[in-house]
Amino acid sequence: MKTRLELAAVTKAFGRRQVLNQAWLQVRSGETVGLIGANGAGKTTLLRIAAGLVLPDGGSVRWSSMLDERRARIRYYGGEMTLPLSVPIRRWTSLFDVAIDDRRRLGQLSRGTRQLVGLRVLLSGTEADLVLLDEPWEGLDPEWSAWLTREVRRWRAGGAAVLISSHRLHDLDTVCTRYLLLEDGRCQSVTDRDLRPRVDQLMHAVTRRGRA
Amino acid sequence: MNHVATARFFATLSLHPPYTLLILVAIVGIGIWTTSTSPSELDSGLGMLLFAQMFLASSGFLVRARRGHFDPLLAGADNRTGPVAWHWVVSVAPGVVGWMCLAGAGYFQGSPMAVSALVGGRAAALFIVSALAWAAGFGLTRGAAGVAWVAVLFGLLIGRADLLSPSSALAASGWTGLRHTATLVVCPFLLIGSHPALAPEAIFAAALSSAVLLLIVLRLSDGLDLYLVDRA
Repeated sequence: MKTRLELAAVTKAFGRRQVLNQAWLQVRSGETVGLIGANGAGKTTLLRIAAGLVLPDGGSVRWSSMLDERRARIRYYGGEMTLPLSVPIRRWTSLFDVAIDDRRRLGQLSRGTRQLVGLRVLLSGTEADLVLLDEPWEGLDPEWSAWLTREVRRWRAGGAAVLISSHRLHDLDTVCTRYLLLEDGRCQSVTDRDLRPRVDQLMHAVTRRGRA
Repeated sequence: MNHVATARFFATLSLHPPYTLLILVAIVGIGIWTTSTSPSELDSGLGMLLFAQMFLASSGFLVRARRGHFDPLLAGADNRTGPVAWHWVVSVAPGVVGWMCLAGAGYFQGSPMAVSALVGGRAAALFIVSALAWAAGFGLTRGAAGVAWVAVLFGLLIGRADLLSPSSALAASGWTGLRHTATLVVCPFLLIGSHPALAPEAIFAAALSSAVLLLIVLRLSDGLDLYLVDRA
């Protein structure tokens, strides 16, 4: 399997706050990697670096394409908060050749429905080497969660490399081939037996914080 | 995305609120009506439109980019210069179209200023405003550069009114060319109306300075961090 995304010794700081510190990561064609970590661990920053939107302070980011002569085709979704609220849904989706006949503005939708519109736009079509999803199950009901799971599997089967950040382990479990824990600015593989209790502890803390 | 899709993307995102476009249409309408009644009055319409362009061109790129609105366009892009250049084109397009309508109406009405509005000093004024307002507003919220520019002009008028006076700007000194250029960059409105002739070199230098600033901002956009800022 060919490596589609490789982050090597990536560092990133915002002011005095070191978000990523020598982070290493590889995502290969046909695999789905789940990125987990506490709130503020740097998951969104890492995904935006992987999308080429944020530049690392140090280290390197490399992409590769199924079509060798071109740069990797990347699809990135940062969540419903990144959608332009004043734009009518029909006009927004038509930009990406997705037909949703709804004259309302994106801002008039509930968060969950907006999330769904964003995902439908991003996951339409078949052409991508790398798919990056930030908290994609957030706000989706069970029916659409199942749809998203099917879509991620379809992309993986088509040879795309998929990297998903989420707190929802039960949903990640349905699609991921392996996991990475982002902690202290570093990515650690959670197949390592020592890390499993730490992940359980972390997820328990995140879940409790969410309920509080 | 190809060039057409990129332009369509920014057009769909409504870089200008609808009310600003209504104001623009009203300005063009008033300008055409004024020119049709008196062709020598073309400059009043052009002056109003130039003022509006200070706000229209200042559409603000970075704030919306950091809200993630441009993610579908910029994620995985080879470089940002092309998409950012299209952002400039779409930002200034309504004002340029309005200007062309006014200048065209003036041309057909036999206005003596129409040619200058299309290819001369008046056209240079539109370019200077279109480039500087967009470049200055690149990292600001929509319209902020226009407000700041008006504040600077107002301050100059209040404090140093002679600075904006053409006779002062043309005063002989070793720095005359530089002073003319700086004056035109700060106040391109001097290129509209019946002022004493400004040196063509100064007009060219002011337009060139604006173009250079525009290119610098386009070039710098490649190295910007588009981290996500919560809209709240």
